[in-house]
Amino acid sequence: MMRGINRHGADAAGLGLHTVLVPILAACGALTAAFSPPATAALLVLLLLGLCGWSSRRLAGLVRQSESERRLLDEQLLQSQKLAAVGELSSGIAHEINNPLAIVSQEAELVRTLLENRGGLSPELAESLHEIAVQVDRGRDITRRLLDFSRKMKPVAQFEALDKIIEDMVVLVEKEAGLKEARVARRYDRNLPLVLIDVPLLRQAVINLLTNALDAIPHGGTITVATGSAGPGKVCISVADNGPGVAAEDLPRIFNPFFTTKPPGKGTGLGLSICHNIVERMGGKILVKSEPGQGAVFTVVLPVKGESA
Amino acid sequence: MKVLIIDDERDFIETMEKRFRFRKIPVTAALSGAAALEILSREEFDVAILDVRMPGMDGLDTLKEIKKRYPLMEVIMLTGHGSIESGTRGMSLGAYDYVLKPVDFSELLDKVEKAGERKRLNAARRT
Repeated sequence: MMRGINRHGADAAGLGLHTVLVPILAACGALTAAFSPPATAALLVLLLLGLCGWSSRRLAGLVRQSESERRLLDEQLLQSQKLAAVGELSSGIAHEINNPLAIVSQEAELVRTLLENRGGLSPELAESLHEIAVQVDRGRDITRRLLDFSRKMKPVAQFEALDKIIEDMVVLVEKEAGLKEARVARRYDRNLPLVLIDVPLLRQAVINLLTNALDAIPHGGTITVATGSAGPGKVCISVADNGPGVAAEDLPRIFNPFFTTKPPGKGTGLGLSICHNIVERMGGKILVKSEPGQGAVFTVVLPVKGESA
Repeated sequence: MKVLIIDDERDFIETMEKRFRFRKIPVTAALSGAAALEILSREEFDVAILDVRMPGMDGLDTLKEIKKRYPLMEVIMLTGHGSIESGTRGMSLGAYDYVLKPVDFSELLDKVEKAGERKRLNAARRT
């Protein structure tokens, strides 16, 4: 289900089979062949060849798997560090921008008052001033989302059932999905333990993923939401869509702030980066698997006992 | 735990007040966003129940103001089937949870209690 996480590819028992048992068998086989008639010896040698070939292929596979797991972890670490740095930067910028926005707002109000005192505003002036207010609000919206993104506040933890947290958000999105005649399929694992996490924070992350999926799917498309165990002490949530998928060159940037594949004006490009930030703060990981034409699957892995005060 | 209900429908508020009082939970009512902010400037509350569709200062604007001025207070949104997008926006704006109208009171009560718990945990940590 997930790429390379928690797979015990090279545990001691498996290696022992290849590094101890196979050579011993090979040696025994060779000795037996030495003292056997030619036909039997030939057969034994062929068998041994097969055995060694199989063993080598397995070992090579294990090495390759372990390498790709390590590379994946390295990429994730780099990504997290980059985003943490961007978080610091955006918080400072957002605070800075809020100041001039507040001033623009006040001055516009002042203009309105002055004009009203001088005998009223023409409709064009009123509309202009209104437009200024609207745009200032937009600016504030963006800075607020930036500040959300970089907020360092540590999460508060409460006990809740994972599928309940998600289902509540799915219900909200499902109604919007109806407009596109799209459906949402659920695959909840009912045997999961209660999670101890910051519930509304997780809800925010989930709703971001769901609205993203909803935007991605075509008319009549499907979103599939699933929960499951991700190894001892970990659970996972996945949101899959059958939309156009993500291009390979976009995949590494998909959690970057302001990165969006939507046309200008549609969406701030902060949804997934906020998700990433939230999940990291909860001590979890978020991964994406996608190929153009094959839709996308976002997987969130969380500790059952999340980080709290 | 102190609860503030913000809704423009008097009948709804009266029903809610009765049911909360029956469970010994003190509840105050505000008929608009502006009235709510006025009350909040004088008194502290733990949880607010907020209708997202109200005339005048609408639910989402009220939510934004509340989260800005009283970030520790938790807000539960009341969404009707026609205001689903507000529900989604509200969650991104920091609401704790939402409840669909018509309201299932035991569901609302459960969420209010969880919201109250979170407020207490947060407040305790800040000191």
